[in-house]
Order: sequence, then structure tokens, then C-alpha cells
Amino acid sequence: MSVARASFDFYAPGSSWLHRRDPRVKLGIVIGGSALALLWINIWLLLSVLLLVHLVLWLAGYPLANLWTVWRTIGPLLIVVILVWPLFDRSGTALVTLGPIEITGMALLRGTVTAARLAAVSFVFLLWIGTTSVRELVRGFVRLGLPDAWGMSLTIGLRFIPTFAGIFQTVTDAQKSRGLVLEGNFIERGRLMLPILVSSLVTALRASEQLAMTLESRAFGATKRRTVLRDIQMTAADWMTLIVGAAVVATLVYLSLWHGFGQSLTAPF
Amino acid sequence: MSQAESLVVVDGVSFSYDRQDGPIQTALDDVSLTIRRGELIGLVGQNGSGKSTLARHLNGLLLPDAGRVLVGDVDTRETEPGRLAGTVGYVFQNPDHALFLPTVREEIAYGLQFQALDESEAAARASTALAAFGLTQVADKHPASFGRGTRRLIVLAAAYAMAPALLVLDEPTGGLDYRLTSRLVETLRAYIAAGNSVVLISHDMQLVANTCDRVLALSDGRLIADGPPGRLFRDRDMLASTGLNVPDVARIAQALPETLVDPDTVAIDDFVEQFQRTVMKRELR
Amino acid sequence: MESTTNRHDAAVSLVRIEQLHYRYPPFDPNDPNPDQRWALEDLSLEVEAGEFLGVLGTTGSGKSTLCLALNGLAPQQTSGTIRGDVWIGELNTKRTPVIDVARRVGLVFQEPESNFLGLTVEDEVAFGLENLAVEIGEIEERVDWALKLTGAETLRSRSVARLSGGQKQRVAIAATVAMLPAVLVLDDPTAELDPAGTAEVLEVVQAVRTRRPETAVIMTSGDPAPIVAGADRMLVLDGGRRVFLGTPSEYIDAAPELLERGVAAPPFIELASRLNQAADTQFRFDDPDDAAQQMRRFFSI
Repeated sequence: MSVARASFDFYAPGSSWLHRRDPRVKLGIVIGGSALALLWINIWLLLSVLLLVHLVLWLAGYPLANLWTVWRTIGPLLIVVILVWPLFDRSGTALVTLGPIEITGMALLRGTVTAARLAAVSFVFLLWIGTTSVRELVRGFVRLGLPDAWGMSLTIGLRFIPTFAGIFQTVTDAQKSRGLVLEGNFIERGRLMLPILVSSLVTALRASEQLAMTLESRAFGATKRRTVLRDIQMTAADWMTLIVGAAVVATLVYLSLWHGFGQSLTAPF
Repeated sequence: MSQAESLVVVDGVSFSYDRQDGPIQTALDDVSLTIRRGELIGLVGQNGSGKSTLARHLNGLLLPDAGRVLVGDVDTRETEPGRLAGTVGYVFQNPDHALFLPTVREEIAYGLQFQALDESEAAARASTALAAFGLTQVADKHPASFGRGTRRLIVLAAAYAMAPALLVLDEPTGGLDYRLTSRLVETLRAYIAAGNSVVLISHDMQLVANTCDRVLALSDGRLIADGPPGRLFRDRDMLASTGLNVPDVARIAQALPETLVDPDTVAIDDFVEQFQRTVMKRELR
Repeated sequence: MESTTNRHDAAVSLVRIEQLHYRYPPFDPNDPNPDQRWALEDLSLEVEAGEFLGVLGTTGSGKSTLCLALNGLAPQQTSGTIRGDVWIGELNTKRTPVIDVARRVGLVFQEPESNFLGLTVEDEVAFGLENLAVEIGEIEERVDWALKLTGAETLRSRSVARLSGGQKQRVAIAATVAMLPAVLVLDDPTAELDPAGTAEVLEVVQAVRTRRPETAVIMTSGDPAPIVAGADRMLVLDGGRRVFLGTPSEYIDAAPELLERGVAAPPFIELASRLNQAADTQFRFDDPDDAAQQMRRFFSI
């Protein structure tokens, strides 16, 4: 048996056109893209969005292995959505009848659309978090008005997710080595987990206390306005992207809301 | 050595970590060894050489990709680490990963609850462990109120109290001063004299030289040496290639003529004893 | 009692610790019987610019607490009770906010993990300078300089999380040195490293001393060997009190007595002490090679 390392790091470094875009622009794309995906119920349109996003990520040199990881992560959720949807949606004629359960083609389709929508939103987010380092991500927020101290907390928070996962794993191992066997029903297991939770918490608290000391030792908060090495900067290309993107999104939103674009489940647009 | 004396058998074990962000990393490559009763074994190697991975196989925290690990006659794949804790105790490097109870005494008693001991026996074991690690005076204090050295003594005492036949200790002397280290070594010696075994993981080569009668050296997941420390610390090429240091006493012994001191001498006690003997011989003459 | 030392006199030492007493707050505020011992007790000493002071001690002797007191984290962050003073030049560390002492005192912690915020190497090194609002051009220069000095140029764009322990400490020192501290404090920086990582860190400390000779370096260590080999002067603590202050050579003379107290000595020194006890010899070794030579002489070989 092998142990999979916990990794919450979707960012893949690179210098592609997409990587070089200002994080604020990418955040804009995410908001616009997600809005459209949530607005549309047309399966072909949603699949096109997915395809387009994959194409863009591929062109940006985003590792296919990472794409696969995302699919594997959201896959079970998508399948559950498709399978569960028909239980609550009885519209249309039944394809299959299993006792009290009637599965209709319409419900299956609606489930699939919802799953496609979820997948589209996930991958639109990947355009942003997959090509933006934590540092740029945070700088983006700070430049949009987030206070420096919050930005620092966010940076540390993101850094701490894998650290905490690591601590939890090690503590679990340490407690097993002391004789802990996780067994029994749900409640029993919860009780047995207590030592693991306490030790993890104490270890994490010590680490954060230590980190607070490091921040002070490096003069964090010594001046009102910090300088920033290699700060993010809106370039001409960024403005262009933003303007073109905004125009496209605005047009599509207009078409969708007032002209029924993407509002049919299956009709080609 | 007869089969009956073997405590843990590591038989052709290979293991690799699955990593999402890189090639598969081989952490152990066809490692075989047998740990017998009454051995104090040093486990050395650079960070990333596979020491902790091997140690985690000894109580089943990790299971081999290939090969097998037998604890007594139980295959680690057929049980759980928690059920082996009475036989193989493992003390992690960072004491905070193990501590969670509000007093030192409860911390020591924690593992004993899994061992189906009667109350008086459990109490006696706990007191013995507290005394052996000099913690009797502070038994009712909160473990977190102490510095790292004392917190380490608490986790060591807790593992010791369970009296496992094999005790695996990862860097047990970090934060311990000379007196506490000497005391720990004495405790471990008494422990193996009673027929138990210890695996000591350490970067302190002089500590390993002083205490161990057998040293395992790992490099890139392969077991590149398994034998008495005297032999290991003479193999300068092997040491250099694995980034290990020659302990001072071995260095001095190797620089002296064999007529004065055996060049395989690595432990301070040994050296002093031989030196005295040589002085006496010369004086007699 | 407030110190009345004339702190504007150019002749006074860079670091002045004057009758320092420090006690942590009680772990349990409701404990009717709290631990009243001082973590540091009546400690006085001075460290000159350019000096390397090595600090050894027994378990719980106050080595780490001393490091925290040097930049004011004790008592400002840890609270507790303090008497006496720590002066860094004209700054009193118990009163000057830590973020301001940080301009003069750089502190590197024991655990490589705790020295970082989770950025790339370059960002970590720039972090302190950004906080001090240093101009971008100068930040670039100083980051270049610090990375080169510590031999970490090749790590520049790597994520700190993926470095080895030795590399992490190397970058931690770079991040500290980039702020051009007058005093570099290292709290047992090699405790969690293997021999290769330890050698790496000691090399970097040497490089800092060579390239910025005016820096005072104060380093604690659980392993006495690098201190004895590299320090100008050594401080030994036991139970928060100073039990030795002197040169490494004086330390070698005092080692047998310090061993009795529980202070670890490098093995070759322990060996001399044990031989002198057991065989009534008068050995005093400077290093392992010297030990072999002296024993040859002893047996007239």
C-alpha cells in the first residue's frame, strides 16, 4: 500500500499568456464565466465551455495530470448529482421504473446539465487558481482593497492547509503507535479520535504561535505602507483582456436574459 | 541465532510513496534484516535516506509494497499498528504529536489501558516508568507546561511503561542535556538486559557509537551496512558517500597504533577501559 | 531597577544584558502553587559588534528564552515578569516594539518550518525589507546580495516548502541578513538537521561573519561541537543562570566541571575528562587530532 500525499495545491508554475495575466483580471474572468455557467442550462453550451477552458489550460501549459486530478476529485460528486437528480425530478416519461423509483430521460438530462454546470464552474476557477501563485492571488485581493494583515493571514492560511494535513497524519500515526485502534461505530470512533484532535490542535497552535513570532521578528507591521517587490501591475494586455472579456460576458448575459440564449436544455444554443 | 529469538523480521521490503507532483519516490529498496531479543540497534542515514520509512514498517504504520514484515509471527499486513503497540513501541521525534492529556501521570498511563492489566499492575508500571525518567516529582503537572526536553522524557516514559519487546526511538536525545542523555542510555541498557530490544534513530554518531552493538545504515532506501559500529565507522568511503560523520572516539582510535587501542573502538567507555589496560601493562613492564 | 548606563557612549558594547531576570507567566493561572523559578536569572554580559557568542546549556537552562529576550519577544509576546534590561545599542528590547527591534536584531528559530510564511525563496528574503518599506530597487539589490552570501541563488524561485531542512535554514538566514541586522541570533538552528544540513548552516554562518564582519552573532546549540569550533566566546547556562563565560580554550579547561552539571561537551573533550579521572592523566585536547597526537606522546611513540 502506498500513501497518497495530501495536496491542495492546484497551482502549476509557468509563464504562459494566462499565467502572466493580472490576478484581478483572472478573478474577473472567473466571476463572469461562473455567472454564465450558472445562467445557462444548455448542455452543449456548458460542454463547450468545459472544452474551451480545457483548451485554454492546455495552451497555457497546465499539466494534464493536474486536470485529471481535478476530474478525479469532483468526479464522484458529479456522478452523485446525475444519479440522485432523478429521485427528486419526475418530469417527462419514465425510462426505467424500479419499484417506487421512476427514472425519466428529462431528469437524467437535468442531472447531467447540473453536473456539467458544476464542472464548468470548477474548471473556470482552475483558470485562476491553477495559474496564479498564492502570492499573486493574495496581492490581487490586497490591491482590490483587502488590508495587508488579512492578506498575510490568507497567505499563511493557505500555506497551513497542507501543513495541517501533514500534522494530522503524523499525529494519527503517533497515537496508533501508542496503542490506539480506531474501531467501533461512528460515535465510538469519534471518541477515539479525541487524542488525535487534541494533539493536532496543540501542535498547530504551537506552530501558529511560532509563526506569529516570526512575523514580528521580520518587522511585519513596522510601517504603514509596505513596499512590494514585483507587485502585480495591469498591463495593456491585461486591460485589453478585461475590456474584451467584459464585453463578451455582457453580450452573452444580455442574450441569455433577454433572448433566451442557452436557455433550452438541448436545442443547439 | 535461533529463530525463536527473532523479534521482528523485515524480509525483502520495498516501499515507495505516491507523489502527485513528481515521479514515484522509492523510499525503501529490498531491505532485509532481523531484530533479535537483547539488541540495541542504531539506525543511521541522512534525512530522506529511508530511516523513518523503515521505522514505520516495524509496527505496521506503513505496509510494504513488496516483501513482508513479521512481528513475532504476525504479518503486519494482517493486523493494525495499535494492536502491535504492546510489542513494538514507537516514539516519534516531536513529542507534541503524542501528548494530549492534562497530567504527566495520565499520559504515562494512557497506553496501559490497552493492555488488559489489573489496576495495581498498571499503577506499578506507571510509577516505575515515572521514576526511570525522573518524572515522579512532576507527575501531576501539565505536560505542555514543560520545555521540549522534558516533554520528550514524558513520551519516552509513556512508551517505556507499556514494556514493548521492541522500542523504536526517533531522535530521542534532542533537547536532552548530558545528564539526561546518560540517564536515558542507562535506562535503555537495563531495558535490553531484561531481554528487550531498542532501535535508536539518531544523527549523533558518538551516541550511536557509545550505546549500540549493531548499526544499520541506510542510503537512498537501501540498507548499505548492518553490523557492529566498529566496522561501520572504519569504512570511510561508505560514510562519506552517505554523508555520515565519524565519531570523535573512532577517529582517535583509528589514528593510534593497534598496540595501544583497538582501531575498532568507537565507544568512550571502551576507549577509557582499553587505555587504562594499556597503561597498566606498560607500568608492569 | 532601571539601568543608568550611559548608552550614548560609543565605547559601550553593542549588546548589553544587565541583571536580566525573566519568568514566564504561570501555565495555569489558577494553579495555587505556580512555578516561581526564573527562566533567566541575574544574567549580565556584553557582546561586541563582530563577535560570535556561542551559548550552551542544560535542558531548560533558558537558551531559547535568551534568544527571545534579545529581540523583545520576551516579554512583549510571551508576557511574564522581567527585571533588568537588554540593550541593543540604544534600544531597550523590553520597551521598544519587537517590529522596531527587528531592524537591529535578526532571529532564526530552531524549527525550519517555523521560519517561513509559505512563499518562494525570493519573496521570503524580500519580506522583511518590504515591511520596512525599503525602496524596490534597494530590495532587489539586497535580496541578490543576501542570496549570494548564503549560497542560495539557485533556490531563488523555488517554493520554500519543498526545500530540505538545511536549505530552509540557509534561506532563513538570508531573509534575516537581508535586513542588515547588527545582531544575528540563531536559536539552535541545526537541532533538526542531519550532518550535511548542519554543515550547510555552519558554513552560512561563517559566510555572514566574513562578508559582514561587523555583525554580532549569538547562537545557541544543543550540540557543543560547532560552538567550541567556531565561537569567539562561549556562554553556558544552567537553570537560567550563567555558569560559564569565556573563550573556547577556557571552556575546554572548565569542561569537566560543566559535564558534572550536565552540560554536554564534544566527545573528544569528554574523553579527556574521563581519561583524567580514570587513569590520573592530565590530558587537555584541542580537537580529535590533537587527542591522538597527545596520546602518542604519552606512550612515547
